Amino acid sequence: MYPPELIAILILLLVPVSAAVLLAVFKPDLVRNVLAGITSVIIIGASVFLAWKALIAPVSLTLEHTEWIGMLLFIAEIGVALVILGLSIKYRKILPLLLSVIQLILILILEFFGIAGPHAMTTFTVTGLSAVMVLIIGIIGTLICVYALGYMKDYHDHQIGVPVRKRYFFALMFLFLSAMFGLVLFNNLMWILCAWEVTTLCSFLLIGYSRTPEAMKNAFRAVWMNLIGGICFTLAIFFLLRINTPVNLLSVTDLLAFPNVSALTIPLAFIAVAGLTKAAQMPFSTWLTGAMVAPTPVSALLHSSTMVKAGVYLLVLFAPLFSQTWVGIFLALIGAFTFLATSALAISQSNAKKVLAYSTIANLGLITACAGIGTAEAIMAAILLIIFHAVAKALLFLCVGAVEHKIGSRDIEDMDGLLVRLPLLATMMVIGISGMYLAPFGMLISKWAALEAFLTAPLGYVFIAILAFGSAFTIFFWTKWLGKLFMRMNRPPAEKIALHISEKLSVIVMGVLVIGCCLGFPAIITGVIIPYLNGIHPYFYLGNKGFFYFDTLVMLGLMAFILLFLVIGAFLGSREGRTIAPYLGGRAVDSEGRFLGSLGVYKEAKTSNYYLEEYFGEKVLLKPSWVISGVLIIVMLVLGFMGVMIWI
Amino acid sequence: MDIMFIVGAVLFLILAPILGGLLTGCDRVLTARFQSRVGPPLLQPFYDVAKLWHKEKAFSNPVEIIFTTAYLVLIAFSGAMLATGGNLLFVFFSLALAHTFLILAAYSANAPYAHIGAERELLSVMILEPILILFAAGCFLVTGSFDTYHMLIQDVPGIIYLPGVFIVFIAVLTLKLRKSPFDISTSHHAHQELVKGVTSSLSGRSLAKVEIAHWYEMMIFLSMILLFFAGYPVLSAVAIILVFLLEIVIDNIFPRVTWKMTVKSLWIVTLVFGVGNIVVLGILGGIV
Repeated sequence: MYPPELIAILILLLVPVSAAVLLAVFKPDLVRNVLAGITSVIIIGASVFLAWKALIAPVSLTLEHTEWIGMLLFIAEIGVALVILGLSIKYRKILPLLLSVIQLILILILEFFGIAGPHAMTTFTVTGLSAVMVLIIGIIGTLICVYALGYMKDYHDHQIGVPVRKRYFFALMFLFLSAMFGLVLFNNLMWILCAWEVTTLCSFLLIGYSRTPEAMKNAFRAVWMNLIGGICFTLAIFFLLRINTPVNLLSVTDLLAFPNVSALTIPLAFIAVAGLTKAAQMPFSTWLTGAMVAPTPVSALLHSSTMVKAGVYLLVLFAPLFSQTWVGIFLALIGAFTFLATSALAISQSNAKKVLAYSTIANLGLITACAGIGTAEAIMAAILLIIFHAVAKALLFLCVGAVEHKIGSRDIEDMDGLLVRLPLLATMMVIGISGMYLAPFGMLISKWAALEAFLTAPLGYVFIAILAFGSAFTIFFWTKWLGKLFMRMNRPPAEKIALHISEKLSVIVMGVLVIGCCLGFPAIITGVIIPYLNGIHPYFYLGNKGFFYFDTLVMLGLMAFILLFLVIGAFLGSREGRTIAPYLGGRAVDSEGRFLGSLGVYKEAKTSNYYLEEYFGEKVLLKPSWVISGVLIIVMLVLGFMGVMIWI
Repeated sequence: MDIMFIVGAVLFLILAPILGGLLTGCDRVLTARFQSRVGPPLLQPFYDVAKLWHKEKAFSNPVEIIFTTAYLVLIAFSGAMLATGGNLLFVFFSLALAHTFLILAAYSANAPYAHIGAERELLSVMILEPILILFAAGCFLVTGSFDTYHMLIQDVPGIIYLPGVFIVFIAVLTLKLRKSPFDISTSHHAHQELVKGVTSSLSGRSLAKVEIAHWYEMMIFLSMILLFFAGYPVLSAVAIILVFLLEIVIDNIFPRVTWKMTVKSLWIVTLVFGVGNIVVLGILGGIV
């Protein structure tokens, strides 16, 4: 009899794939809804079970006869490369073609000349970190898929020219989940590489879903950038195999326990580049901002629970190794710089999805910075950021997607007074935005943790300075969005289309999750993160310090209580008094809030938010940022080849 | 939590608005003398607030009642936190949240003046953020903790280690005391393009709450000067009075600073003195 953990793992790996195959076959909407619903319930159940088991004690399972799994994954990998190759030829894209050929050759060399024979190693490992990822993929990922059931119906009603290919769409979404589960559960780097490539392919196909010229252009940009990551990953494996040691370095657990880190700097540098591409860090950020041409559930999936999280997962996984090298410091610098640059860029954007995209990249930058620093405090901050960002960002994307279908725009300038026009969605949006930057919510706790981690890290003062200015930018762009929602403008009421039940369900559950994570963060830290950290740094003890200090917790609680009181007050409080027209500099104003113009006509007074494009526009900031981050990456690789270590 | 801390918090909650109002009165008298006017009576700020409190309840959006209340409550809460020797970062985060509520109140008014005022208030929050984080980081590097309590029991006054941060702090105080720039949000200068910007659509009790919150905030920022001179009460008092007078002088010398000049000049000061200070401390390996 198989142990229950193994069954859960197999369910997580195989059920989404099988569902993908079935979803690709059956056409009727009803069958799809039922199938997707059942699959989602199974995935959520299995991931919760597995995470629970892993939190009690890390799961580590070894299977015999894994050669055939390796073979199967190898074939899948070749298939992925061939599909990208074929599409590159079809659309005549030189760069992706070239990169996929290189990748194909590298994989073939690796398979037939690289490995002398299969080494025995642990097959699956589920640590605290992978448990967190399993929960994120299993719960948030499936909720996004459920949301997509309703969303895609509206999507095709709005996008008339786009061919309806829902079977293809949903098959890819579920395949994506399988690949992500593989990525976080496998222990063999070769297998992880395969899952890595599958996520590249899935994101490529999903971004190009509408097949418009813009979509294809952005899809190919995504694929060539991620192929660079794939190639770097493969090169990392090459360099690992060149190290002469009896230890099997392709096993993640053995690699992490390898004592001679100074021999590992070259593969670490390549792994870092791979992580940076997938996490859309500068200078690779444009693929993620371009990815917003895809239907919103795809953006939500890419930004919150899959793809970009695969990148930072890899970096956080190897954070203990990074912490001893200068490669890590430069990785952290790239992340911190990305945080600063993209937070500034977000100020200049009025497109809600683009603001979200830049904020995603910024937060991933912060996670990357923490991973590069790699101390116990930094890893804790990174994991907290991963969790809070995943829930809040997924919620925000789902809201923007639904709002776009209701008001016909994703421009923040068109969202004024949304709280009156679409109360449910706007409330959820307020929760999401608050969760991204306000006290006492989640991201702020993570920022706090990051701050403490930076202060005790080598070169920490550089990171502090960057974080200080970066977080000033985040305050600016989030608050002006938040303000828009509370404005009360004379807008025509939104179309009376009811929200699909699947959309409503996902949005509400996600909102509850955001609040739950914010309230339950002490439990997350003590129950999940500390045990994981103790696996790496046996002497790490959080105790009574920093934001986890008892008094601070009391204060956070008090603050939450004050806020709760205010929310209740907002609903129950007295509104006694006279509502008068707004002040317009003494002009005559009518009851609608319009002013009397000089030609005797009442006119609407219109103001818009600051975007400060002369300072923060893409035209101003993008190119210098590419140069700076490019130089940082080159320096990182050079330091990797020189094998420079940090003395402590 | 020590009983002394609770006493401190309660004292702050009661005394801060009284002192803050008196200081505002002094400020108005002094400024008037600078400009060869007689000026209002010392207690004028209290008369103003009392009058506002009894005005008719009128608003352009009823939600502003709750937002201005939230602003006042959270500012007072931050001050109480500071008075208990609490966590400096937490005080700053709570202040940022309070300001978010003020900005939301202005947004909800749905008026162009209030909206632009809100945006500029937001800019001032943005300008302030790096300085506050560097300040907190500096305290951490000196004492190994974000708690102001540890800063106060230092043997050596903080200004020895954090002179750069202190300079930046003085520079931003002009902003926090609503002195310069004249065109930002609620500057006390009468002749400005935004007619009191962020508060232009507030009246009656809402405006009174904002005024009281402003007194609290003034006291919070002035009492932070204590952190630089801990252990030397006379020196602290002198420093606070000098800084306050300096601010009034600065205000009267530079009456036409715009928000763009403010962003640039303050961030340059922050980069040079604030970041410079932290980097030097960091290279020296901190104090602890």
